[in-house]
Amino acid sequence: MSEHQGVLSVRSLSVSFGGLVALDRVDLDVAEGEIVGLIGPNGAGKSTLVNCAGGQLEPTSGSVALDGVPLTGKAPYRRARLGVGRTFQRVALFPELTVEAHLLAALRAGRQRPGRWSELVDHARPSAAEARQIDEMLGLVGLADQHDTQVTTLPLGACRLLEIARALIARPRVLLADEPSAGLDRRESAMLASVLAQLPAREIGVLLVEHDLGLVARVCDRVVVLDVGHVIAEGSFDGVMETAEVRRAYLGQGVA
Amino acid sequence: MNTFLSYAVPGIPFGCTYAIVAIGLVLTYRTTGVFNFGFGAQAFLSAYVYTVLTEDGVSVPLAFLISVVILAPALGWALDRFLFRRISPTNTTGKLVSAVAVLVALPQIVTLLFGSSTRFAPPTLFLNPGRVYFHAFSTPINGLELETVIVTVVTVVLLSLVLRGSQLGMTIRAAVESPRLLELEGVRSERVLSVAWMGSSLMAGLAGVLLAPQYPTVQPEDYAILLVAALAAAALGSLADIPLALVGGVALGVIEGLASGYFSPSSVWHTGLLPAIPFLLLALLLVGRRRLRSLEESDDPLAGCDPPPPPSILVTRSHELDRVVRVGGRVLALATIISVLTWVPGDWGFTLTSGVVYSIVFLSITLITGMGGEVSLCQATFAGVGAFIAAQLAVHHGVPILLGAVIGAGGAAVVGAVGALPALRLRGLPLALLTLALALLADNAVFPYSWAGGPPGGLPVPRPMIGSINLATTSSKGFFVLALAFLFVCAVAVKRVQRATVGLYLGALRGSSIGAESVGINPSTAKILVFALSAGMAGLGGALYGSLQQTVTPADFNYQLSLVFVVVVVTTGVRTIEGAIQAGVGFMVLQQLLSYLPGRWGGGGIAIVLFAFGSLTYAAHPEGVVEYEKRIWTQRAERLIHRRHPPTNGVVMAAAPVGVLEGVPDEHV
Ligand SMILES: Nc1ncnc2c1ncn2[C@@H]1O[C@H](COP(=O)(O)OP(=O)(O)OP(=O)(O)O)[C@@H](O)[C@H]1O
Ligand SMILES: [Mg+2]
Repeated sequence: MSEHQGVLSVRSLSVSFGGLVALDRVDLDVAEGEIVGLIGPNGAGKSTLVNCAGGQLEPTSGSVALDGVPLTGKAPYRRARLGVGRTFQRVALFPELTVEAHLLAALRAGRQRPGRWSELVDHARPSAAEARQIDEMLGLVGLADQHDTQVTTLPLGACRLLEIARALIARPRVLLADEPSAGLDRRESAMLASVLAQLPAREIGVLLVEHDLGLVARVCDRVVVLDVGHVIAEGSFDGVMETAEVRRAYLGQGVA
Repeated sequence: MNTFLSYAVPGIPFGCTYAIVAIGLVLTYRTTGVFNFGFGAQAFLSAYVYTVLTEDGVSVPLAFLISVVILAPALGWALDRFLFRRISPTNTTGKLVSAVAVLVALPQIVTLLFGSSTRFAPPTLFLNPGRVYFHAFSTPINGLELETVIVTVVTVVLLSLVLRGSQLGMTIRAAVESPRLLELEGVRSERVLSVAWMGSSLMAGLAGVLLAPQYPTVQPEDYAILLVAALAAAALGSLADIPLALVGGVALGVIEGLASGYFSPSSVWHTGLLPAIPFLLLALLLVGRRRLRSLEESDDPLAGCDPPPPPSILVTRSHELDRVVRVGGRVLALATIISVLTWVPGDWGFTLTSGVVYSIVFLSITLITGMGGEVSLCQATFAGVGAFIAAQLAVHHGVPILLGAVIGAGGAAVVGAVGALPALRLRGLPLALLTLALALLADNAVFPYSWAGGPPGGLPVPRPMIGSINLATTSSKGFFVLALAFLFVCAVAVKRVQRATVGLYLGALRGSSIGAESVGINPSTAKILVFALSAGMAGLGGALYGSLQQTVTPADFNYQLSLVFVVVVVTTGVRTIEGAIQAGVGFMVLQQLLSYLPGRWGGGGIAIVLFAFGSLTYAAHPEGVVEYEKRIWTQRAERLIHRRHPPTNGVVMAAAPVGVLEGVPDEHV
């Protein structure tokens, strides 16, 4: 397990905040087109891991690589351009922009970034090709008729789906989704599941942090269970749910 | 060793006053979340009132009682009750602008109330300033120095007794150690806020009265230095540590004492470096200390962001009304221009020309604050860089002034870009502090040199020659047209950037910088770009201003002006180009109108105070109070129109924010 392999690979990742060890030598791989569920109780270190992969947090030790290229020391925007897409546990949209502007900004800044200097003078209006990509993406997440909506007027569920669309539009290699179903209603959850299910065909790897185990069971190829910074189980959903450690971590002491 | 000590000891009393204000800053910042720049002005106010009272024959104890024990806490209580408590804790820019408004307005109010005659140093509190009480390390200690140290020690001892001994003190101390905890526990009661504000204002007043007898006259500038020194001391403790702030304040005084002792009075160090020490130290601390940098960060991506301004009325108003307003605006602008060119008398023509030139400078604030989302307190400094480059080139190298103005703009842009480098990791409050340090650094250590700001009498600046037309001799109408042309070019440039991809990126960064970075937007390029453009535009405006005035001095571009600029533009609307133009023309016209008032009322102070009050509404209406009024009137007009002609195209009004803004208290009332 020491070679970096797959789209995203995390090796021996440790993070401590002062005395608190949030991650302790964690290994994890996501292959191309694979959906990996990352589950665990509150405070297990799931978001911390996602932040290390996205570049929002520098690990204390260990490394993260994308397609075998180490990401250590790279700023978040560089990682985004290399192909790391992500969403946030607390939605991080741009309150002043419309839905369409979110996608346009992500498209132009992201992986297939056009020129440098043209950004200073060109118009921030989508070209025909860009408009097609934006339409397609909004269609995918079910926001097709919302181009000019101000995001401050969107309900939380739509915000989460828009955040996913924003992360996907530049065709990342991997999507890190931090609890995308939190706050979604039944219909939006179904939409989320269908969006996720389409990603393997697009050769995008997914690391899905989720508390909704039903969703995890439905879409994930593989599940990694984290508890207080340690990987305690790994494998198929049904398989890991059988293990004693996982039952203990989820249901507390006394259940063995 | 003895020389060392004899240089160090005289610095201690100054250091003590820095320390007192620094402790006050830390106290309010940690308990209330407000970083009160206003303490500098509050210290000045108490010192001034104390001086006036003693001049009028009031006994020293009574004057002290009135100016420090009563006035200072009362002002602190009022500031909390009527201003800062109404601002949401997450509204960083709102708090910042309001604190700047206090700093700007108080000295002006003092001048309006008491006139601007020179006030000489007041008497000391209880010791004889001329008498040497004893020698410390063979350095004579006079009454003034001894008194300052004694009062400081007593204050610190009392403060620690209060903080340790009483229930309220414990709560405040807990707040200083962990404001977040206190919030969670729900004990951030109004009483705690009031007491913290009153206590720290009392300390500011005390420091002011202690400092007053140390300078020959009582003037606001000395208290700005007190403020920055206190900022540096507070920064040493990462704005969170009272003992470190105390040590830092005293240490800074000692360092200044040593520097003024060791550098010979005629050396460059003495004239240049010495006055800049607190600002340099502050700048270094801001850039170097991790804890300070992360001051505004938090794991909650929306915690630091202001409530987004409602969409501009340009977006929401209906087409008919839009056409009426647009046409009306153009007619008004055209009428003004024609009037200036035909019948308007010379002084008003000059005023309106100044307004146009100021609009260019204010557009730089539209760029940096409106688009970049950051408050800069050194825009006048950038204007000065442009003006001095243009003037020096014209005077010493015969470069035509318009070419010089463009070079000056370029020079200012370079300064802005270089200045942005250390600021890359800073946002919000630390960034504003850094720009303030930069402004004061330029005021004290760069502009006073004759190679920069010119000789003491000012630097002559020519009016431009276009072909054979000398814009100086053919009256100032030609200059008015020229200024308009420049304004037009600048406005188009700003509009262009707003509508370009970069404008989109800036909008994203304003909303959520971690979200923007996560899609590949490089915040550093955006920040350098916006700083450079903004500084360049300010530099251009500054150079034109110099040419209009035909002379420039460092006083034309000091830090106070930068503060006034922010307050003015924020009032009229920082988001739009019209906002900047309204600010420029409005500010000059208002000053001209007020100049008809008699005596000290005509000095322009009222205009600044009015705008300062206007900017206090920024916290609630980040789009600017003028923009806000426009919205209200637009809605009224629309209702009127719709009653007569039922709407054909539905006007969509912005709905109440939901979703993303959950958890961010809504400030729109
Ligand atoms: N910036 C920080 N400073 C200090 N401790 C932190 C910080 N961020 C996270 N932690 C701690 O690290 C641990 C892991 O946090 P993390 O947010 O990764 O958990 P999580 O698995 O995402 O939990 P949840 O399901 O609640 O989102 C927690 O104990 C948390 O308190
Ligand atoms: Mg989490």
